[in-house]
Amino acid sequence: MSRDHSHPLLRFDDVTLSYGGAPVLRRLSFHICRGEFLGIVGPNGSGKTTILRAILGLLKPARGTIARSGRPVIGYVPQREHIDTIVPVTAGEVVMMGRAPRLGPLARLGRRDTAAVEEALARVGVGELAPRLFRDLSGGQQQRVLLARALAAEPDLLVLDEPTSGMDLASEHALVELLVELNRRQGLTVLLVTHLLQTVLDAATSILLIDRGRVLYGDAGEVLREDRLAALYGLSVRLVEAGGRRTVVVGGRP
Amino acid sequence: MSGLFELEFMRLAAVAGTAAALALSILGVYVVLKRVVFVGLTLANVATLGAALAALFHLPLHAVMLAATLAGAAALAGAASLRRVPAESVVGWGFAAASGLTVLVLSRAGGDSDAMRLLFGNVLAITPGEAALMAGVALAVVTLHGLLARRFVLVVFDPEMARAAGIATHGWTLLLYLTVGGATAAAVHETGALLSFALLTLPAMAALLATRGLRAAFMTAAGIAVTATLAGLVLSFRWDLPAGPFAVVLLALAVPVAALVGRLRR
Repeated sequence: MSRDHSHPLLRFDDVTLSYGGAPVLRRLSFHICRGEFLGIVGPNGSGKTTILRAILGLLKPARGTIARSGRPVIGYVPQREHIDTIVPVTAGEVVMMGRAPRLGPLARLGRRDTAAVEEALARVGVGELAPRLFRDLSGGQQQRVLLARALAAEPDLLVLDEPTSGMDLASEHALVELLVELNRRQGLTVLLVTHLLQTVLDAATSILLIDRGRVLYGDAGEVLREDRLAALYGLSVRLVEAGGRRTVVVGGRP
Repeated sequence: MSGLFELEFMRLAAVAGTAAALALSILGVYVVLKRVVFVGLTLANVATLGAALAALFHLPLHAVMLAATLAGAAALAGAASLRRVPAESVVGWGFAAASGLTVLVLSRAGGDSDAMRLLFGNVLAITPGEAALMAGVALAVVTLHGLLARRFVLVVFDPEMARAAGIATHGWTLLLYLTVGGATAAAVHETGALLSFALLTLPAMAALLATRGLRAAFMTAAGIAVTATLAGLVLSFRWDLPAGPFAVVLLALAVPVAALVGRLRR
């Protein structure tokens, strides 16, 4: 799906983000268009989660503005570590929680809610897991259920925070494939926060690269360059073209 | 058995005990899942402190207990935002402070029998007004949590997602603690701090061990709490034992039994 640059869903304009008065990221400017797959990438502690909190409206900018197109519904997939699996809820009940942004606290669940949940479960291929307890599922299954929950909100923007964390290679690959399909075939706007370069190389159409407080934003091909990545991570990083796919090769000190 | 409930004090005890059991066991599921069982114990002690202060200064008992407990609940809900010490250390501070102050205030109150009753409770000495009050509190808790269960569960399960969805999680946590505080304040006056704390924690713990779903956990917790409270009343009367502690022992026994049931069902 093509990106509509004339009507960004979300626009950061000269935004500075701080915690307790101490700036973490300064003068950020970028936007997310409908149909875009934006990867936010950078080393641990670089401020990825800070940007994500600002996008979710959980952190107000110390300076600048964050403009939203209308009131976009955000489907959020948090890191699994934030979820308390001691609560004995089924996968179906977890996905039903995704309707919260569209329902008041006293609202009853209607047919549309049930249909949205069933469709979300089907899109992610976890319909058969609905009656099972969330805590009994594997890490990959839990992540898919959380993705289904985000989709159940019928979001304008899907936001994922390190969704492949703690997953095995096969589950990680399957999840990234699913995200690409949701974006390319179903037109869903996706924002993926990750420290995995290969994941954004495979999936993202544009990239926000965070480098010691500096931010580079643009098309994936422009932003991800060997010299920048080597400087960012302090390692020799090569981008190798093979079979129509760019692959990250890391080895030794630069 | 039916002859036993022809006695008015037993009927009143059954009504108040059932109401306290229902309210506290339902709230207890959240309290146990949020890992804040000592919030319940501390609030029970704060309620007792309120009663002791009311006895010392000859103030309206229920109003002072409720005000003290709600203030305590609000303070404990706010403790979650502290960064330099864990929230549970504030709960420990509240427990120690309330317990110490209660003993001091009671020593000044001259061992007033009504104030002393609060420490250990006497479910058999309840008036019709007190039983009606406890029933009203239970009805309010069951209604509130029946209507808002989905929101409370989301805030407990995934507060980060709830915040991202625009839900004021601190407000919902405060509401949860206020209902725990209100129900605890009422129950402490009728059944004592020990049984109130036991009703808040043990049925929920047993239910979570024995069942697999959240809905089943709520219903089982309520069932265990009411059964143990009523059985405690009847058996303690027959065997001439104190009713409150007897019910506490039954609730404590329910936990290993539930663990066994849960293991057999797996």
